[in-house]
Amino acid sequence: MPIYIVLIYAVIVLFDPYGLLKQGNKRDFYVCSALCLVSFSLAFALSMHWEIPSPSPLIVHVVKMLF
Amino acid sequence: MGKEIIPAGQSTSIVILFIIGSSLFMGASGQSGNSSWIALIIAMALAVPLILVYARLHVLFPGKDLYDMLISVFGAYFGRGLSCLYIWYTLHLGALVLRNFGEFSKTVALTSTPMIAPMLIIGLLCIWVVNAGMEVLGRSAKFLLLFTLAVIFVVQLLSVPKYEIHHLKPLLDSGWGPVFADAGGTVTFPFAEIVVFLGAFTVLPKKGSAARVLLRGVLVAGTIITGISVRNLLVLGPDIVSSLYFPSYVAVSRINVGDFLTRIEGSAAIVFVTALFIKVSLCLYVSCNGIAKVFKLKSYRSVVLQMGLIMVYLSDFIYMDIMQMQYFAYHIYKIYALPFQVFIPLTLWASAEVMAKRSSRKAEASQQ
Repeated sequence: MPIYIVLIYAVIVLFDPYGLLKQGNKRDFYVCSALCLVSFSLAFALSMHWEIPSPSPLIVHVVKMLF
Repeated sequence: MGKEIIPAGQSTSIVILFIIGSSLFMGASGQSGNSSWIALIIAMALAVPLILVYARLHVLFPGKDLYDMLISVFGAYFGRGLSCLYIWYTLHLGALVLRNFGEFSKTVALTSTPMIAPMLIIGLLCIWVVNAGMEVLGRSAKFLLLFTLAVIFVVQLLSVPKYEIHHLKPLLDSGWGPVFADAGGTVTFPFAEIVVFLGAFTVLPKKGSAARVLLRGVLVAGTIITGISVRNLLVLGPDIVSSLYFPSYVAVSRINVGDFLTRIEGSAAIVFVTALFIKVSLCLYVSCNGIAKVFKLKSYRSVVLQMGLIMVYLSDFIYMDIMQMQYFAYHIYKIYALPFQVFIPLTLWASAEVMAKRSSRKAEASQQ
């Protein structure tokens, strides 16, 4: 599965961030690339069955602390 | 790209489907037992002033969306900081709704399929429609609303033989306390969630249309949710409704017309998916629009694919299990959502009114 993820993201990078660069939208390219990196990291971690910390316990903790 | 404008009818359809989105799956929050429908009506009434505040913002800032308003009122830095909070809120809300669907399919429909598969399919569909633009979303919403209303109406009619009126008695058995507690929770989930639509206010046609669109949407959606809630109570009874994760699905599964028309819950579940599709799409659009405004991008479309994928992945690890999801939705969310739905919009509205008065005074002084 991780290999498929890498292959799929190679295609995504070619079409999405690189496409923006070719159109000359540099700012859009930088933001899209940053988000692509986050998205790829999450997808890779999920495919490797790594435990990703969820924001829910933090929100629950803060809400319980306040009320 | 030209400016996207969608007619009031289509905007109302989006608002209705957005509000009924998760409630069709999850039902309304319930400590009030067989009086939950009273809590829903009170919640609808409580949501109206908030909706009027949201609509007033559209009058004060015509042609601007939530992010433009925040930046113009609170300044470039603080406004952008608040915009980031709303980007998080819409991304998180979209992920929560996707997870509702994931848990639904895992629990009752596609029990052997990994949860991420149906969530990814819906997520990709939302990415597609948001990339196509709000006009496409509006037209889809109008068609899907008609379909949803037709299915809900037919299912309500077919459920009539299963109604047991004694489930509704005694009314207000546990008093007004739980009813008001439920009403408070129901304002934040689902009615005031429509604050997300502020992020798409630029698509509304003219100055005064927001009040009409939002009020109509909330009233129709509230009526649908109340109707479904009463049906669930009449078919299942308050004890069973409160013990189920997806009461509507079970209530529809009880339909049996002459041993011929049975087990139609699978077909009725299509309605859940249509409402959810619109809700997730609007959340995705508003979060992408926020990113575009904060980082001054040429188009929100540049980040739709990545934000959509992040939303799907987030929905996969946001909760450990269905119990955590239920606990968050009914106990934590109503407090977590308050700043986004009430405090920040009210502060924005108050500041905007002061700014509008000041500028009108200045204009008068310059005329004299």
